[in-house]
Amino acid sequence: MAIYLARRLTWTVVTLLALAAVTFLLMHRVPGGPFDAATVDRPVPAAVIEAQHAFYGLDDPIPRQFVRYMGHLARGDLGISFSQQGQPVTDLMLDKAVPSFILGVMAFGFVVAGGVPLGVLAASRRGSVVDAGALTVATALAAVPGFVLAFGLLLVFSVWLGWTEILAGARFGESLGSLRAGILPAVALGAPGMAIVSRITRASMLDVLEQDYIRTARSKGLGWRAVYLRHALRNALLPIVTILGPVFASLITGSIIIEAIFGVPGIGSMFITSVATRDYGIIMGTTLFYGVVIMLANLAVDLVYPLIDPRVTLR
Amino acid sequence: MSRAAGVAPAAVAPSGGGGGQAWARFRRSRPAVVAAVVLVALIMIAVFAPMIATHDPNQQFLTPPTGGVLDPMAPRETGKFLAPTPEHLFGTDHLARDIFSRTVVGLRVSLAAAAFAIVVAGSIGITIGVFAASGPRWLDSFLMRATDIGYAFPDLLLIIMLRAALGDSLFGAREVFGLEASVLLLFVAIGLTAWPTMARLVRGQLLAVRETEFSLAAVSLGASPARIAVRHWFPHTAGPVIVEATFMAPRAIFAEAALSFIGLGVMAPGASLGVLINDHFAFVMLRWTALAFPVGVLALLFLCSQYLGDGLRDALDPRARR
Repeated sequence: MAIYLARRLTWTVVTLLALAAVTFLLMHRVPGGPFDAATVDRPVPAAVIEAQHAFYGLDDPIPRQFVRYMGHLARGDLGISFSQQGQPVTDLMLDKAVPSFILGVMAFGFVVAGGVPLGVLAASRRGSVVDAGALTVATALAAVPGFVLAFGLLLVFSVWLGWTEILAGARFGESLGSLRAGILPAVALGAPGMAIVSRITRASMLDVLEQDYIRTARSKGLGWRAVYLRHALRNALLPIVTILGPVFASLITGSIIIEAIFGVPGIGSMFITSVATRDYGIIMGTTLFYGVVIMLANLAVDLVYPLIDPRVTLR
Repeated sequence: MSRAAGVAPAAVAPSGGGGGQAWARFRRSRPAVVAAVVLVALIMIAVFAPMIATHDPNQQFLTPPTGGVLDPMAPRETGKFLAPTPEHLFGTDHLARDIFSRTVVGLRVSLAAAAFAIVVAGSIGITIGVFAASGPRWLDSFLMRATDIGYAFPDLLLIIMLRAALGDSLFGAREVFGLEASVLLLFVAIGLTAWPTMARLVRGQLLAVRETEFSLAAVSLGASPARIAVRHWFPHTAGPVIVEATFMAPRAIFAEAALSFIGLGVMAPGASLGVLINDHFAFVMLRWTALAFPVGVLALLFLCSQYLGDGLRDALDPRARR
């Protein structure tokens, strides 16, 4: 187990190195520098640009800049932001990570708490109106992109019903009361994942329900709860947990778009602005942050397997 | 079924049947046939978009002021936000452009996104998968490690970076195949992030089919490697690859729409379904039908690829279950 964990973590570090290298290379290939007149949107004397490039070592060969960046990173230093008066990237990101994190947790909660019960319900009433209804809901949710759904939700709940403010997302994460503003973004973000999870849950449950031990459980006279939840769902969990890894990753990347629509001041909005302003420190910081979260999620999924199915051993 | 870390075992389709039986199975699935027909129709509309579009998608149909010039209450110009009419089938937008023509052209962009992404992701993924499955062990583990790394990348971030880094021209040309080079490069960027799934699938299929008894029988009967590859390995890999490509299409279409929507994809005045959705949402309270058309087309594209993919999977691989 310890060896397995050590190998996985080593591999995670290697992947992050590759992600850092690719991102570093790409971002320096983007035309225009962080101090150019076109980027900062006002006239800048050439001497000033030169001085700033020299100060931050931006004229050095890319490999040398990369090694320097990784050296700082190894000491936990993500550098400073070019577009925000030289504030440390770490401070800026910690500020933005809170709303993103809360939004992610709420969306993931919606995926699991919505998708699994819907799938179980559909499987237990196979071929009935409930089953068809659940399948229709799942297909419809997955048939429109998250950002279209986001607009639909805004239209219905903010404009027509007036339940939430349109741009309440801007203050999201500041206080406990502001969490309400996260409901619409979380639903829009989680809906496609919720649809997938409910489909997988239904299919996995149908497989398990054909097993002999389910017939045994039924013939013993066990109730609905015992048969479906204790016997069937527990054994149907493995494919569900497997899909949660990719679903979580899609929540992470989907949040870039959803944050932009609802004006949530999170990591995603930060990344989009940083590409436009060529803010190298922020681009690297946000990309690595996303990479770490995705890989930790995948690791967590693999670590949960033996808990669900004792026959699985991690090697 | 060992799923602890690593690639899920790929199911091998039984060889029996061949094309004829698969076709018969496919025809029996009504949703898949309907989806295929609708998709073909949409593709034809996209291909012949310039002929089908009733107007120039960028032309503004403003009508001159009505009433006296001195009448301050008369609207200065009209022709914007029109409801669907026989002249403008889907109405007009905030710049008095014909929405039907823009939707038809936008459909062309979305389908091109899917096609390019599938070609790019497919050629990279299939090449890597074939080399990994047939090459020496070190090559296999190297390629699969690279695939794992590619799989772990946050794709949308990479597409945005690639899109920014690739620039606006392709080999100096600003327009290729009647598409702007920047749009084309967006599709390439989408494809460049989608290949790992295909690489894993192809490698898994090839490794599995190599171990089957009929493959072994062909070898012991003295069949040439080329014959085995063409007669046995290719048919067993082609089915799942086609299915995966079908599922790849909606992902590429959504990525294009989402990026165009946040202003990082197709640029104004170009039309794509994402651009249209973004434009039309601004005046949805005034004319909701304007938004319904591009969203409806997008949803139709997605549903059809989904049902077609499901139908193809059931037809090509009868042992795979939903």
